[in-house]
Amino acid sequence: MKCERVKELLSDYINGDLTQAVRSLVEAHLESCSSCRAELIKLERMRSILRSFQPVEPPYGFSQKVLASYRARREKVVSPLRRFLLGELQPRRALAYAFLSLFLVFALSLLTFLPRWTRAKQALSYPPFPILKRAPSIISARGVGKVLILPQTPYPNQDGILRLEIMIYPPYPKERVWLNLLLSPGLSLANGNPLLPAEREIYLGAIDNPVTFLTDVKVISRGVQWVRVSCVSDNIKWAEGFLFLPPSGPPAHYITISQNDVDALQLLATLVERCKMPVALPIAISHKLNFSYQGDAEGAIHYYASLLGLTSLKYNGGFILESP
Amino acid sequence: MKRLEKEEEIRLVQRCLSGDEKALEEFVNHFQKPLFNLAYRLCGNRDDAEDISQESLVRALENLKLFKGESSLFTWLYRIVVNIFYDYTRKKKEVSYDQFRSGEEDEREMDFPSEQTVEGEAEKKDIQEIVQREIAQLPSYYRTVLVLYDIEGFSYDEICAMLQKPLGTVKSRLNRARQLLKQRLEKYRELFEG
Repeated sequence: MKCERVKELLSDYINGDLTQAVRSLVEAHLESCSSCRAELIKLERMRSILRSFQPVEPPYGFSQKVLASYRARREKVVSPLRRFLLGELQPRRALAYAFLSLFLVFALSLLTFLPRWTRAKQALSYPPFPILKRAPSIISARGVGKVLILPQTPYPNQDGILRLEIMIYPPYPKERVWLNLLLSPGLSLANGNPLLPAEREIYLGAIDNPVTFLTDVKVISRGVQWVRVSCVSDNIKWAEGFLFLPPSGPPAHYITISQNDVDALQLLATLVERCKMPVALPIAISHKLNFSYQGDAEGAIHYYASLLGLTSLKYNGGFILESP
Repeated sequence: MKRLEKEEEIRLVQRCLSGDEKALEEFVNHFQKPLFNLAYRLCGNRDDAEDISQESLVRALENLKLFKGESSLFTWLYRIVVNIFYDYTRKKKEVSYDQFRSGEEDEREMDFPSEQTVEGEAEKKDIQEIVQREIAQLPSYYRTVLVLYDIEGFSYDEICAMLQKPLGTVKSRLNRARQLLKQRLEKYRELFEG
């Protein structure tokens, strides 16, 4: 065994970590090599010095210092806000607390607005129209949205309040819809300030089924009044519906017409389904409904028109419905 | 220093955790000396040893609920001291650590005092003090193993548990530490003649 290798093994040798075979080889070498023997003596001497180290005493009052430091820190842990205010926190931790505070503020503001959104979402949970269950493909296949406004009662109640049912037919699935409700000056929102412009914007969320909701308007002055409902997605208005209220007189029945309504069959069927009563088109908007139609349900259109008290006329590529 | 039995250790920890102020004092009084000694051997001066051992004891008390009794309380506490010592050396940007990290070549660059300045110094100063001072010049990873094995007298198993290192690493570090210390002490001829 060479000196170099033996010197490497001397540390393990004095620890007694070598196997018997290696130990014998090292000992054999040590007998014949004075340099390695001297090395071993140095290592053993060094080890004996290290082993003879006397323990040192901690400084006077050390344990009290430790306990005081522990107690002081324990109290600080209880109040990180105080530490934050006193600027005792490390920058990274202070930043973490700052983010936490911001998050709390955000969460609180979220809670404030939540009731409003919840109201809008409740509207979405209304059961869909029966008519749509029968023919939903008509709505989505055309890719054209629609809005209908139907009064729940033929005329306002004693307090002048008229409940309206607003029906939204989204043009595409998962459409994010904002609805804008605008009333003529003679109307106000039932729970709104009559002196303020009667306008309300409601976010309906991403809808892919027709939704309906109810809203109350108050008639505060005479004359022909109107309600306009626009539906907007991504700043593009895709449907607008009007409801015209007759000026006065005997109880009237109203129908609404969606301005860009090409699915007149759907419109008529819905009206008949919902109103369950003879309906008249107010002269104020139109006495004529002209639409194109390329289907095989011509008989149904004539039938629904007659239920609505309209004359129906088929022409090349469409229909003309007129009040008599 | 009498070591506590396992059951006594667990009882003491439980009393501390239950908020018994007497138990806290008992804990600190019992462990202050060994922890201070370890810190002193590792860093080589009383001021730093005081800081390190104080911080270790406070952190131990703060984290006492993490002690699961898998190792002995001593091993757990010594591990805390060693970790704080490593942090401390890192913060101090210990020169010798940087020099030694890259291997043997750099070891030659170590700051050996000249023969003249150390001539006769061993006579004047206590041997322990000289050796302690030279230990403090070793890279911290070597120093730790040397202190734990040769001075504190821990077994390999205990050191492996404290440092969370395999046996081979601990043995090779010990071997290396002894070689380096021997090299540093060779200039004090009196040490090896006595």
